[in-house]
Amino acid sequence: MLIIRSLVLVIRHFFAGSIYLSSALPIREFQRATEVNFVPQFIFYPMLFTWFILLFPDKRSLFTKIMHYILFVSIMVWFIYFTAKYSDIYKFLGGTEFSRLANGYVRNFLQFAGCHLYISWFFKKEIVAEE
Amino acid sequence: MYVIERIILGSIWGVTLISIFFVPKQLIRKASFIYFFTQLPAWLLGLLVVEIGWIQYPVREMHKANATSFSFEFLILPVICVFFNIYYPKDSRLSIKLLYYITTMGAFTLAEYFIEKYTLLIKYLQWDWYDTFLSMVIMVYAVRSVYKWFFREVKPLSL
Repeated sequence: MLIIRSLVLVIRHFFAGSIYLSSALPIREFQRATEVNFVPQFIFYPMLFTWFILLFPDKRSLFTKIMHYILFVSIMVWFIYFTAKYSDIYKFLGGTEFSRLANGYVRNFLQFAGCHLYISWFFKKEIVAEE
Repeated sequence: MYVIERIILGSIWGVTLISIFFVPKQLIRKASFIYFFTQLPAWLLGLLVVEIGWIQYPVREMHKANATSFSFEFLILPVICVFFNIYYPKDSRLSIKLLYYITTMGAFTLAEYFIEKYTLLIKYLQWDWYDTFLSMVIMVYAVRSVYKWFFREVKPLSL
């Protein structure tokens, strides 16, 4: 039950930071209302982050945790990379192949780390016990 | 260009950001949940009303990226919901609760009515002040219900 509850929060939290984009999104759901696409921002990335939190190896070694980060950040980065390459959902404006990937890794890592920090603060046991 | 609109927007940002410091410290965790959860339906519904063509926001932030009002959906409405829930008279009679809904959302509707009339921050295309009032009441009630459900209070759907 708690897991389902946390999903609501996690879903919400994730896309708050994802409005700023250095790219264009020609194919999108709300053509008039926004230049940003909706389903990836609203459902897909939050879902990815939800699984990131649910599967996070809290009790394992630092190495496993780092690998967990790399895995999930890579899914994000390469998803965007390939949709940009083979479809019009994503379109990068400027930058070299390497700079796009590096940028994607840094930005998504910061996003995951920030959200992870918030989630772990939110579910910290002491704070829960206090209330 | 748009001096009045920008002054209003700037002061709203100032007032809202300062008001966050008045959230009681022991309620910060709950308040953060309300803040983030409110953005979830607000983002979707805000996009819908602009896409359908009911409301227009001629002067706004991130003019190119977004035709909806970023400050309303991501700052003002969440903070309103936070304070609405903090000061909610949950031990009072039903009539007091209803009065609380009517006065708080009425005040908001009045403010938006005058902003719509005299500035370009928001334009009603196929919309009226009572639509604002109704949608705000439903929105605030829904957020409060989810908030009560999340923190395991009894009867989340009751007023």
